[in-house]
Amino acid sequence: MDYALHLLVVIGIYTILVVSLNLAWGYTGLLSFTHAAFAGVGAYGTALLLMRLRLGFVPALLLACLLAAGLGALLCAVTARLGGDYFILAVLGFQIVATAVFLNWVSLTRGPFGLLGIPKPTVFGHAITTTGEYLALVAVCAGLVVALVHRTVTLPFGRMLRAIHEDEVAVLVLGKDVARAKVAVFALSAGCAAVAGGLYAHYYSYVDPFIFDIHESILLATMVVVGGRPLRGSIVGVVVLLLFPEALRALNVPGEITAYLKQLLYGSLLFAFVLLRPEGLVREGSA
Amino acid sequence: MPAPLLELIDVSRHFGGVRAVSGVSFGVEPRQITSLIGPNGAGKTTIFNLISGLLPPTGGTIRYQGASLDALPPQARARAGIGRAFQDPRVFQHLSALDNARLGFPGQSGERLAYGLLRWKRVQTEDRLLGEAAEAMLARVGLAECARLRAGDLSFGQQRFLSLVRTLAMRPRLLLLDEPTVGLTLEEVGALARLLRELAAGSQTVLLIEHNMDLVMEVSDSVILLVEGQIVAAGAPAAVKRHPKLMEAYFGAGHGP
Repeated sequence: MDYALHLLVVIGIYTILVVSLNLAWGYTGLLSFTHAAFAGVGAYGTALLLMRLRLGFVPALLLACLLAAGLGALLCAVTARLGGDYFILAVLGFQIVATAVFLNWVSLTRGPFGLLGIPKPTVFGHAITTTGEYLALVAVCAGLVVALVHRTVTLPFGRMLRAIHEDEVAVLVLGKDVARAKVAVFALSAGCAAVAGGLYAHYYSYVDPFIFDIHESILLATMVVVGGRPLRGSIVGVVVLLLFPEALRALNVPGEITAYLKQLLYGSLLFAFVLLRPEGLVREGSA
Repeated sequence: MPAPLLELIDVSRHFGGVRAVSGVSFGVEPRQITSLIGPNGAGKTTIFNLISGLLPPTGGTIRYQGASLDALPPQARARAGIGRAFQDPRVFQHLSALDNARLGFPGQSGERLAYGLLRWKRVQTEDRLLGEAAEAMLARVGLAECARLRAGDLSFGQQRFLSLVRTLAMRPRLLLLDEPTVGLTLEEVGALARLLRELAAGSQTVLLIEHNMDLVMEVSDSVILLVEGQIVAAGAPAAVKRHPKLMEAYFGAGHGP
């Protein structure tokens, strides 16, 4: 039972991440292989603010989200005028820099040893200790993020994002501020990804730089591809990719092989979906 | 004589050694339809790109409402009232026809993220009203039944009219139309001519690129003939129609009168 709750917590955290990435990529066309880095900013930020500055969990999480959103806005403001391929590469650079900072700013992050003993969160005076309580916290946060993203994409702003994804120049000559819209959506997306990072750090009581590296960003992108653009698709993508290793476990595949099979499957799924079903498992039809 | 709404003064645009537009000067009078004609490669679409800010000129200056446009990015020029419909309709294929039309309306508060999130109800009301206005505009060009369809599922002609509606929703002071009859059926060309006449009667200023000479001669107040990036004739439609350079430009040397 506890393991099932744990799986649901992980699904909740990944749902936040993938919905965030979907907002930037699926809706706006800002393909980012750096969202794990924003989650890392959320994770390290929340943990350090709580451990070093003794802030409460909620203000620490909010501040870390603001930091990630600010970094996302800055990154997008500098890179958004670049064409598609160059934008992807420039943003990828941020992932590499972030991992290097997590790894080498030892006095702050403890480098490769990671941060240990991150305390369990206390929310409005209530200590979150059991997996069930943590699931409730993650469910509330995931619900808030999904609701925020859903509202964003159903606003006229969201309509503009979809148009930008299709034909940026046609949007520009309608008098819309494409650059400002991109910066706003990327900041929101980065801030939401940081929520997932903050939850992750306090759930596992531990973070290290390798959790938020490029492989994780590629996994998130694979989840978006597999699930499809509608927000429901993001959840489907998360569930399919996270439950696969569990299926291997049920089949008694040895753990050391599972890790390789996992990578093989993720890569194959990405390849297969891009080639055969680029719209993902859940087709467009609703937000 | 009123001051031109738009004025190109000695404007050039070179791509390496290719002089796509070379020392072009002309004015677009308010409330008139001015047509740019000329064979393919004459530089007509390049001039539209220069006016709408998608390309910087190599030389010269473009003035709009008496002020230079040179420092303004494309979105600022659009907000100043320069609306452009492309040669390819470039509708947003995955959005409904109605949403395409709604996107044209300027100054939508719901297009600002923070405002939209904080004033959701107000934005919904505003958007509903814009939707009604957009539906009325779609009905005007015979697209009322298509409002909820995906723009990508419309015929080419319907996409063309949708793109016009989207541009007209901007309420442009200057409307740039790039070969609007290309790909249209005869019936659709007739509908487009009617729309152009309505626009002209409504005092809309239009700069039109068009190959359909009958349409050009019928609706234009003045015509500019462009060949190899340079103006070779300009004036009233009847005068340009008789100009020896016109036949030569379209059919080659020896075809002039």
